[in-house]
Amino acid sequence: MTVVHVLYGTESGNAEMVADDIVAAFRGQGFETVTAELTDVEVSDLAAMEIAVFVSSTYGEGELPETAAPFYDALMAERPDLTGVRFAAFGLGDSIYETFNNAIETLRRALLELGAEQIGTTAKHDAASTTPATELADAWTRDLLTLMPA
Amino acid sequence: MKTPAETAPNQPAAAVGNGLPLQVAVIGAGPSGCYAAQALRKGQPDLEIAVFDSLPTPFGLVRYGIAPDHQGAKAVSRQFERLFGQPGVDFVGNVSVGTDVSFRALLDNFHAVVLATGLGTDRQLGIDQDPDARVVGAGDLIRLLNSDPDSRLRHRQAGPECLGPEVVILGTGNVAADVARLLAKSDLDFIASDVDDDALRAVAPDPVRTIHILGRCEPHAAKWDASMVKELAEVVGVHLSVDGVSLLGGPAVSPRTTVNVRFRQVPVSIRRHDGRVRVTTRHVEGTALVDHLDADTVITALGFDSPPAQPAHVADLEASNVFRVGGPATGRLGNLAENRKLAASAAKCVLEFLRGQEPQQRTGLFGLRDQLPASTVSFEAWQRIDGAEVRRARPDRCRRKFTTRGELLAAAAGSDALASIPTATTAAIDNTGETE
Ligand SMILES: Cc1cc2nc3c(=O)[nH]c(=O)nc-3n(C[C@H](O)[C@H](O)[C@H](O)COP(=O)(O)OP(=O)(O)OC[C@H]3O[C@@H](n4cnc5c(N)ncnc54)[C@H](O)[C@@H]3O)c2cc1C
Ligand SMILES: Cc1cc2nc3c(=O)[nH]c(=O)nc-3n(C[C@H](O)[C@H](O)[C@H](O)COP(=O)(O)O)c2cc1C
Repeated sequence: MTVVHVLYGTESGNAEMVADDIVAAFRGQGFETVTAELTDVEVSDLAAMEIAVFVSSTYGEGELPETAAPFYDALMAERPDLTGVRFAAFGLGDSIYETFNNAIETLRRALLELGAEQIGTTAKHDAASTTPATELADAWTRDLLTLMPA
Repeated sequence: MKTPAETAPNQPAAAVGNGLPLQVAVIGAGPSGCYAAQALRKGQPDLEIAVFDSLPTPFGLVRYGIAPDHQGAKAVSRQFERLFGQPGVDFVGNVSVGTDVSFRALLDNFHAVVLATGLGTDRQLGIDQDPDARVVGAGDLIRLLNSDPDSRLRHRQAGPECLGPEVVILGTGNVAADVARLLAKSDLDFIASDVDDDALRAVAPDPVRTIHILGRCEPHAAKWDASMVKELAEVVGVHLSVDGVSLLGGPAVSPRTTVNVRFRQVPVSIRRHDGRVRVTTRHVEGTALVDHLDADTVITALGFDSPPAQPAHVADLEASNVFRVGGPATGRLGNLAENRKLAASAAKCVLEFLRGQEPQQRTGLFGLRDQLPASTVSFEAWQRIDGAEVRRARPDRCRRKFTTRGELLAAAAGSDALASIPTATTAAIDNTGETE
């Protein structure tokens, strides 16, 4: 059975909650999962992952959250070949900012550039909306699961 | 990074010998307390945690501090709702530790106690100041606009006082920017917020006409985020200038509200002058250059301290099983991200402490059951308050909060009917906000 790695970057914890939701949905379908904050992930771990789900909020003016920035910097410095890695992307942001959900776009572009393949659509949660992040995470993961190998 | 086996729930390594769970009390259900409880449970899922708060409602300044027009930031409370939804995590609202329940009782009934009481009071200016000049703390003002039942501005016989058409805000942090924005906005700008409309109308019947923001520091050293200043400048009808230079192009044709930010201004005194207030400042580099600014109200936004009235035996308590997060640990209120980090590292220390002990049996909340007041608010009772507030909102608002402890407790008990009757319980509340 495929192991799904759920990797998150957060500052106030919302992305961690979404990561928990995604993990619960995958486990419910019998997948084995590993959860990690991006601070605890080595770039060299990435190439061996079959499926990595990235969850990240956005900070500053469109920047990565504090716990994801070092990973991204290392990724850009080491530029590993990620051919064969499949990933999904879930962003959290707030539409009062012009740079709405910029961080997940930054990560996504980097991963694609290094040869990884994206599955599903990029989710972009808007904290200013009335939809709870959990609700979007549940719906998005359900769609994602239809694209997954059993 | 962790293997799947390592991320599986921890074994109850620290459970008491006879298999009974470890008990932790958290004092304060603000973000620091909730993040600490969250991290404790992630590290040790079989811990039992009771989170006490003197307010009938959880979430501290997420509910009563973060600006009512920033609902996105307030959404962190969803994480905490999930926390309290778990068996083994209790919200114990409307219970003030040190007053309703003694600190000693917590030490007797729990293996560890986490102090997360925040910093409840606006920092004083500490300069020559007329006691009867109209000076308002930004924290108090925002608590009022967030419907805090204990906001000191609410508890005047005649209700909250109008700030007047011209105000001075001292301080250049995010809280100063929040205050300026809230006072500069018109009714339409509050769509989908949960601002206390009655309170807003009382303090600012119309958007405030002139707002002066004074900072001691150099412009680049201001503590606010650039995005906060930008948001203020973008409020329709606002014209913002910094040290005389317009932000975002030239002056608006006829601004409704002008906001003048001036840096390098050191306040020297605040006096009453012709029924208004006069703020005297000097330039940061000289002692001679003295300036006067007359306005209707001065609002201080200079940070926060712990309330002087806080029982000393709570704030000063030292014991090997007492841990601190947020303000009581750092002396700074901090923001959510900082407090989350602090709480996570404090939780690590708590778990290490518990693992290193030969723990005796403690009965946790159960052992306190005879000491808790009848008006204790559970998480379920809070959810009744929550539902009632959302249901009674204006169509263009997301919530209408209850503004007195009486109304909150009535809604907690499930009587919406009672809750809709305007109650005048201010007499039953003394100026520290605790019900008698
Ligand atoms: C106007 C304003 C706007 C803000 N906006 C933002 C923002 O947009 N983003 C951001 O990240 N941060 C923001 N903050 C900061 C954020 O609110 C704080 O970082 C956070 O609330 C601190 O959490 P805390 O739990 O330490 O304290 P608090 O939130 O103050 O919680 C402390 C709790 O302890 C309780 N308590 C105190 N004494 C006792 C006792 N003896 N017994 C029982 N309970 C007790 C209190 O009732 C309170 O509920 C803002 C703050 C203010 C004032
Ligand atoms: C200081 C600050 C800056 C932010 N900047 C952005 C931004 O540029 N773009 C965006 O979409 N969201 C921005 N946000 C909103 C957060 O991404 C959003 O609140 C998110 O839910 C936080 O998730 P987290 O709890 O996982 O950190 C910002 C929030 C803060 C507090």
